Amino acid sequence: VASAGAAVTTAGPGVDGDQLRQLAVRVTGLAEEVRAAGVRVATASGVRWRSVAAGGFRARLAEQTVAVRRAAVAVDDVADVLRGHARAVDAAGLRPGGR
Amino acid sequence: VPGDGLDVRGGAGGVDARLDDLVAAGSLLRRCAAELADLAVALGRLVCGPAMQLTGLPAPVTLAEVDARTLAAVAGPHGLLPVAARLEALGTALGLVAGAYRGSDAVAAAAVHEAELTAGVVAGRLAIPLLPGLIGYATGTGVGSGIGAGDSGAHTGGGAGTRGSGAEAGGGGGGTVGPGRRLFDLMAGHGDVMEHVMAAAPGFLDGMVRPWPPVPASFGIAVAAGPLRDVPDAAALVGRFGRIVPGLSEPSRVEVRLNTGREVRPPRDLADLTGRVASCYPVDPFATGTATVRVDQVIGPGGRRAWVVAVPGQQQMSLHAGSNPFDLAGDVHAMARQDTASRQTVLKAMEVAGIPRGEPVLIAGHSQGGMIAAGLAADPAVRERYRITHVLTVGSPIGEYPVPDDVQVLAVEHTDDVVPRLDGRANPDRAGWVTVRRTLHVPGMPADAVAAHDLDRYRQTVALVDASDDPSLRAYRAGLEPFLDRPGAQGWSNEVSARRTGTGAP
Repeated sequence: VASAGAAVTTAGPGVDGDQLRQLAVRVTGLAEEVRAAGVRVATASGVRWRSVAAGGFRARLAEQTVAVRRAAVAVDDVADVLRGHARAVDAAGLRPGGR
Repeated sequence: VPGDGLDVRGGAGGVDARLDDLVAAGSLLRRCAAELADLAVALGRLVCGPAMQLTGLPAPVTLAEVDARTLAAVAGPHGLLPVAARLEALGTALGLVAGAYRGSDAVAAAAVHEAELTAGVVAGRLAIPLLPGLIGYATGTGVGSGIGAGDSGAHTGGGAGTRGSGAEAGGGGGGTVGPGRRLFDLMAGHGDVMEHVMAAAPGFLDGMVRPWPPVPASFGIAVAAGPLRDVPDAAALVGRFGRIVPGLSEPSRVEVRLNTGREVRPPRDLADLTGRVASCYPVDPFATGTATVRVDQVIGPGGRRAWVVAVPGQQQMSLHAGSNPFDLAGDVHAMARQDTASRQTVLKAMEVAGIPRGEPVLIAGHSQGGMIAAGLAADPAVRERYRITHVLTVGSPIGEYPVPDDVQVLAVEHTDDVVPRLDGRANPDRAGWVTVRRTLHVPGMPADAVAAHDLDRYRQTVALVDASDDPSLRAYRAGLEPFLDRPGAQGWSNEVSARRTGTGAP
């Protein structure tokens, strides 16, 4: 697992808005790692293979490259809703550590 | 075949390297799949901890959205885990494809080999009643002498550009071109067919020693021969006849002498390397009493050393093992992958020249010299002592030698040269083994088998290899840097002369 994933810590007790925003930053880091993996996946299309089956492989690989990008966007979405959740928590006045 | 007439197989641009590419791409996809799965787990642990659920008390709606989006990102249709699973499947499929290609190629090769062997066995059995006639034809028309004169001329003519054309020497050897030589040229003109004929040859011999219906007198030979599956088996059988046929005996003891060394320029390129091999042939084609092997030391600008061993081919066609280790008996025994006096000559030359353990060694050889080069590179005991990194062969049948993958091999063959076809096997197509083929004769015109084996002609082909843009050849040349001339490099040449002992020859 790449750096951001390895550095993950579970959201602990007493989570406040700031911690949720920090969590969102980490999740954005995970999304970047997903995109980086997608770039590596795309390089597999450069394999020296010419045949009907190779054409099918490249089509499937292109689909999966797009799918990885979509997965990265989905992870970005998690970061976005985490920021929204942080605002909601702030708005509810649950800020034990203060800001 | 591009404009330079070179047909390049194997190496960095070869089929096997492409299959390696497939395997590597499959591994890459599987690694990416594992990475995405790990990221999915990390995301779940990050966002869905118990403490996170406490934040749902003040903001339940947004927390529900966080949970839903996280679930979608991890396991939804476009989530990380399904994508990882599909990439894992794709990567696994690529590995299976490469395995299937390799497997089908191996199955096809085995099927062809079986068919060739079977055809050979049938032909061998049919040949038994025809044998007296065939022997009469051969002895009556001088098949052996025609080939012999040509062969000898080809080798000695290859010594250097100033020594005359080997083809001319060979062609003139018998005064007239006999039917044997014509047969040889006919075979040269159909090199691909020749390869299949040689692949069938072990079966042919097998059919002859195991006739059907069985002949009682053949039982002993059949048992002694064992099953003949390939050319080394067949050559070993012929070699065993050395016990009763003096011409095929092979005393492998040699005496070597290290002559005074001299400073030389390191080789400039592959053609120059081939020239070092040519310089091992005697200037006088009849002065073949001793053999010469060259061991050149190349000292790079930083003091790093590399070694070039140049090995000539057969120089004597005599029926008896003579003083020169590079002879017909050596050819037969080298084909059987057995020890030979010529092989011992090269090993002793490397020893007396002082090649230390660990320094890179390139062995270049012509004809039998190439077989010795490949044989040494394939020998674990030799590789324990010397770090052979490169092999260059011209006009050598080396397809049967199990040279390891980490030795870079360049085999140069003329399609109209019969000698590289004698193993009846195509060279392997793999990343570390490049085979270059070139046809010398004009299509529709007769081939000249002797000229096609001539070392000078091979030097011309190797010069084309030096100039080629083919990716496999570029990759091979790139690895030669320690052995070649460059600013600040120095060279020292050791010539080692050798004589076979224990033959009774003068």
